[in-house]
Amino acid sequence: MGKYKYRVVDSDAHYMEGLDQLVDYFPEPWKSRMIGSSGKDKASIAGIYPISTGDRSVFGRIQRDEFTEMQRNAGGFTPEIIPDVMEFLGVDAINMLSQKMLTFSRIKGDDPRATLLANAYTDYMLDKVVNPDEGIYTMAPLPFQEPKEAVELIDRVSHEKGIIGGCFATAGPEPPFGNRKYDPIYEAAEANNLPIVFHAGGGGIDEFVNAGYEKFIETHVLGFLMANQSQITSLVIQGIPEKFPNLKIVFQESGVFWIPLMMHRLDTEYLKRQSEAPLLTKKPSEYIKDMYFGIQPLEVPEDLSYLRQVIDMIGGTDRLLYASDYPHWDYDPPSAITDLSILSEDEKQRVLAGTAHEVFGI
Amino acid sequence: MTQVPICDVTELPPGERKIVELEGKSIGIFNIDGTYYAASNTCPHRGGPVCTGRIGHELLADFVGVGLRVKEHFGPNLVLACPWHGWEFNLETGVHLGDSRISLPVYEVTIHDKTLFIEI
Ligand code: FES
Repeated sequence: MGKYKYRVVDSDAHYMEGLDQLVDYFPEPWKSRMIGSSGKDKASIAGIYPISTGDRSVFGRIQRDEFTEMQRNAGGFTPEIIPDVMEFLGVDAINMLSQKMLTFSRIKGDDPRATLLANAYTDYMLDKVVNPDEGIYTMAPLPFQEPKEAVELIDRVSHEKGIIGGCFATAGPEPPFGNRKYDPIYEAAEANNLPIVFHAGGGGIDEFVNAGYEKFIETHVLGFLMANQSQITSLVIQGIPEKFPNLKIVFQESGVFWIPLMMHRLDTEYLKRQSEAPLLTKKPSEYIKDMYFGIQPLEVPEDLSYLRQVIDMIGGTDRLLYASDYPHWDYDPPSAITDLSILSEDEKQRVLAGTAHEVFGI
Repeated sequence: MTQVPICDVTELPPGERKIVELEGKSIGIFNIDGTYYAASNTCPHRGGPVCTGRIGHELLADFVGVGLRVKEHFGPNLVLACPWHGWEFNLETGVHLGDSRISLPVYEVTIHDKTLFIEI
């Protein structure tokens, strides 16, 4: 135990790899393409990193001095930085997810990059970063554009102790994730007891629903939320939890207030249009109450009883996972939970580590 | 419980329905292929005239295989759909298809000496 008197597991932090770190993990001819591509910004090599409205740091207002210092000591964002990040956050275990893999949804064509990136990233993480003995884990980003290749990746790496989930970026897959096209991925995840984490991301949010927003606050408030809303709707109405009843489903990075909204909105329409969701044997909200949710970015209203009600509506703290999202601009330290007077000690411990143990076995 | 006479059986042939007022309640009586059903005509949702709605069969679906389109088909249960917002009730039990905690009152229909009675 570190800073806190609780065990703390961070279910979602980000590994800020440069694509140059992954180069050796790409097969040819992609390795040469990456090395040969122009531009200092290595992120541009694969041409997938989203350009968003505005600036994530609010034009220098949000600073990560400690993070800059960590990077200076480690020589950039290298594996050596992770113990420092964990100590800074005060977490005992951490699930590090690639920054760049969250942009998969921008790849829409018949394009091998999603599969290439997913495999290269996973191999790099297994080779250089994950270390279960030190509490360092990751998830395999799943190239949903190519279900067969996603299944191959699951089958190849899910026995690894350091791989605790398969991750889908939720911004913009077409068709959405309830479609039967993705069934083989869910089947493989269920068979391998690999939770699927649906993670909101920046890729594509600027074009989400309608283009033309001016400020980052607009695209972030809406994009991250709507990406998860669209996927949870598709999953539930298309009956994925009925098809794959032992599949563990996690949603991350939209806070918690959206969950009861979706539960009640889906239930209200389901009572009127039940014949359009014929696989369901119970109300949509009841499936959602079997899912898990990362808390970040946690909305903290002035009157905390509102947050308490939201937590109660979704089935209590058993549904919630502490997630920092560090070092992203809106990260939540563990004190987002430890400071909450509306939670009992047991509930705090449940959110901080208990749910992660149940979901990820860490 | 009292048996209330409704009409002569010849007045409700197969495929027909009748809405009657009994003890201040609006009630629908149906003859579906010779089997009689009766239900409250006041929808538990917003009070719509549910017994004027469409009668059909419950839509079911089977998960027939990974990656395959779900197979939709009609099941044996008859359902009554409220015309106002589509809530669907099992015609025999009155139970809402999407939530078993919601139900429409249903009544037993009997025949004595060629007269239809409802037990309310
Ligand atoms: S009043 Fe019957 S469905 Fe709304």
